[in-house]
Amino acid sequence: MKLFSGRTQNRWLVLDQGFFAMFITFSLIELANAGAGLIDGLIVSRFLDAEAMAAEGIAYPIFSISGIFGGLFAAGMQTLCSRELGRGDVKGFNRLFSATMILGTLFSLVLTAAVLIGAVPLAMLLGASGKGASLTEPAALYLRGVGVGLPGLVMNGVLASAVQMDSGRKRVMTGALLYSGMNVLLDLAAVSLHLGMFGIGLATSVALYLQIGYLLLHFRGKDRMLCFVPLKTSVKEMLHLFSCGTEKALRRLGNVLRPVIVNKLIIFYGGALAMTAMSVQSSLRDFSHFFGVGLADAAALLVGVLFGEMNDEAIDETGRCVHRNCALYCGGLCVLFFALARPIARLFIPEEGELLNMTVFAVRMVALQAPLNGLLRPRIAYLQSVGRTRNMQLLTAVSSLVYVALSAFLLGTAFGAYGVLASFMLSDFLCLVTVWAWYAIRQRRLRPTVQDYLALPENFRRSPGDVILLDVRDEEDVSLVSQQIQLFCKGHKLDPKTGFEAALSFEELAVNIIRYGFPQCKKRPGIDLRVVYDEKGLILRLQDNCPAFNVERQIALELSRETDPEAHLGLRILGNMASEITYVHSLETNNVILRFPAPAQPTAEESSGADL
Amino acid sequence: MLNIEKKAEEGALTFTLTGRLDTTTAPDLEKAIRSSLDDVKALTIDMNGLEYISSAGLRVLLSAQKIMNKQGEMKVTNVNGTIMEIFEVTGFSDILTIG
Repeated sequence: MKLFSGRTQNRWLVLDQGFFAMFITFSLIELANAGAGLIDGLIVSRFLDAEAMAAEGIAYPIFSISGIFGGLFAAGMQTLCSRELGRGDVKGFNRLFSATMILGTLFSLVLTAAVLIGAVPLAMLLGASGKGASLTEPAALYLRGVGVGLPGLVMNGVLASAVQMDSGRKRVMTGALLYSGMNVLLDLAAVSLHLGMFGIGLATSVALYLQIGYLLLHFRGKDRMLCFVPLKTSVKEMLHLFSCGTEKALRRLGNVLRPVIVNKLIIFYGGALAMTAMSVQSSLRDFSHFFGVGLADAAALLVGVLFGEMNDEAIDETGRCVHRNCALYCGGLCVLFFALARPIARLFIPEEGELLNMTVFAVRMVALQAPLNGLLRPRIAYLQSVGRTRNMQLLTAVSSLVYVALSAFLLGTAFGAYGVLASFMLSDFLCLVTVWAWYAIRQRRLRPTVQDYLALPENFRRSPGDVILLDVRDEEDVSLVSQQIQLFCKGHKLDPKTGFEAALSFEELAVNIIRYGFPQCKKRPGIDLRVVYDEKGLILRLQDNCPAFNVERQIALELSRETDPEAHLGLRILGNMASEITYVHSLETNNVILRFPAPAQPTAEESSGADL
Repeated sequence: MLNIEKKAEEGALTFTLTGRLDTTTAPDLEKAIRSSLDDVKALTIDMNGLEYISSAGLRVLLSAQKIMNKQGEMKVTNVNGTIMEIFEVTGFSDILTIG
């Protein structure tokens, strides 16, 4: 709704700012992790021997395998906890977080024990057998070193998501950088102390625990809502949590299985030469997907909260945020990689010849894949957040494995090794076409609408007449919106007293934010208002991007003490007007939910009695 | 929107308010009251047409009451039920003389 004519500012200021901050944070975290992996490999190859490098390569899938379990816990917890936050249920959020942390840690301890005890057979299972039997011992040593840190890996995933939801974005980002930096430093220390492959693995584990230690410092903060509570859950709830976390688990499973098929095909069509180009492409692909991962993680978190709030308009806007940022950043990366494909390829392959040409082609395919991946990953994350679990699982399976294998086979048959190098790009393209085709067929129209793509549950969308969405920037806006609320209540036949109280509560809170919050806001300040009418009454949700201010606690404090009548007058009025006030500081925004129940309608008998 | 009507009569001053006394209109009332209180012994705020009042409006009333405590008396009249409830929850019903 556009109430304030002549305004050129962005209506969705608070949401867009929040999305962009999360997108950049998640992208940087992914970039830091990918960078640390690259440097880790370089250190092993430079300072240890070729056998050590091969042993690390053999044991490396342990990260994907443990990541499958870690992903189940972390992504599942994030999906369900973000919905709890959207509903304003902080207790539910803490209960789910604590249960996931406790059960995830217990599970990963079992995994650690299994890896430590069965390191040798595991190394053999991963490939250190037959011609590679000489790699069994170093691979087993590396597995034991890494195995010590598996609880850290699982706990980090859960903790980082929860801290991020509790407005600890900067801490999560710094924690990721700390992990990457310490991993490299400890690797160098392990090399200088001659700790061998066990030391290299242990360095990763220690870095993970240092990251956890840093994330745990979040609990020292005064205004945090995140806290540990006693374990209280059920098998049913945990199974539901796992089903919500299958996106990352399936993707990691695809990462383990996919190379088996694609590598065989590229070697079949192009031999070792083509495999080298494929290796360069794999390294660059992991690196170039950081924007896609950032968009997906930001979309998953924000949409989860908005889904819990049943805010379809803001979910729609989040989709637009993804597309805008994808066009800008993934598109930019695409142009950059495409234009610089030859110099990038030369970093890996210095000599002219067929291999360089093949590698340049491989880099260009990575470039073309970037924007497609920047649309596909958020789509999968979105489906997970809005509870379309089966669709999400299907799309993850086809994007991670089925379409890649199919594309590699078809393109390989038609164009040989060059075709296989284009298979990942084609796979993502096919996935997006599948998404379009799915809705086009279901809705029987060539151009599905935005609402079709949003795929929200039937009872999710409210009638447009039952919702007001407005942004507030100054006190003049406050006055206009306050009147709007009264008219809205009158239109819904709520009694004038409820309309008065809702309008007054809004004014007191909004003026308080503008006068005291806006001057302290480092970003462009704004208030996002959502008013919803349903059969239970009226709900006002004010969201602002100013520093944390626990209005619920402050009101309780003001109401409990005798003060000067002028002091905190607005807050005292607010405390007396709204029947229920809930405050949640999440994703660096203050969220206040005010509820005004609709007075019970007189029954027919009462009405007739009144008439008499 | 707030409509302020002023009626002065031998040391007595009456402001009749119609509309909304909120964060944007309260400064207008404050200005009108402050500029008229010299030699006033009895101030009446008639709220017959007032539909809405916020804390900004309450502060103006309190400020006027403080001035009038020194030079005469102040009375608030024709308060509707909803606004009366605001006076009560804020303790203003004990501070103001409501007639």
